[in-house]
Amino acid sequence: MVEKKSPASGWPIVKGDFHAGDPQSCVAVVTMGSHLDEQGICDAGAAIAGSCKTENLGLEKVIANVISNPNIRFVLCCGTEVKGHLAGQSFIALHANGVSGGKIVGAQGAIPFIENLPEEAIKRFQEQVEIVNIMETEDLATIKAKIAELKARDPGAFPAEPMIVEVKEAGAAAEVAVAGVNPQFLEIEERLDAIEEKIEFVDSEVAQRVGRKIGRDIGILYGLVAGLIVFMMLLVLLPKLVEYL
Amino acid sequence: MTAINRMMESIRYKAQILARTNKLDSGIMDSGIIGFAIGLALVMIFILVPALLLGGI
Repeated sequence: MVEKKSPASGWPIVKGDFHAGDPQSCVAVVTMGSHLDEQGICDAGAAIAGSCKTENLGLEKVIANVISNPNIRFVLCCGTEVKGHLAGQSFIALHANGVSGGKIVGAQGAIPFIENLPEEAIKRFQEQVEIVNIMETEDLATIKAKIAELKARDPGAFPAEPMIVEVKEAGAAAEVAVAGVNPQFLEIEERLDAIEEKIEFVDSEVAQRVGRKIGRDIGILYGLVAGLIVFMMLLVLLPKLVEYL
Repeated sequence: MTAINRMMESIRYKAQILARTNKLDSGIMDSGIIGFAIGLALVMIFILVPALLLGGI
């Protein structure tokens, strides 16, 4: 039997869209954008199972709950990715590359900034858990089989006390802002669109003027040729016609 | 999302080229006849009229 520790008092310490199971389990399941049978996943042996839709506050909450329970040694990423946010990709990038200047290195999500977690918390997260990536899997049987496989590999509790970090709920506003769009950004985008439209209009007008010039020049050329042909015909044919008459 | 954005950019680019070509074409078609008339008139003024006046024809 591997060594187990007590998680932080009142674990899970951060509230969110998840179900808690056996706190002694070594597996946490993050279903990203999918809503699966989280209670069923917990019953299958997961310590905690829930969704994570944003690449900033969502990830912070997951990490806060993971590092406050040293028994969790595996984070199973499954479910579908949330378009634009790419919380799954950002989560895996965070574990692999960490954070630089508040930004997750290598994350492709819209706003992958970690603001509420100190560097030690991220380092602890990287050391404590192993990420198991089965993203785009929503099949419960596959997820449960993976949980069983990971539980069989349980290395025991992480040799450190639970780390408690506070995820400020003020960040919730930021999460909402992520779901919507910054109004200033929208205004700038609108202005840029208007500028682009005007440039396109001017560009078309210029093209039309150039077209007119080219058309006129070609017309003059045709007119000259036609006039010269008429002149030559008059020059050659008219005397012969007069002679004939 | 990125793929859709790229597709949108490509469509926009093609639409711009199409609009420009159309405008150029319509400009050429618009002023071709006028140009032809100018050319013909030039021949009349500079060749035919002097030739007639000088009794060349």
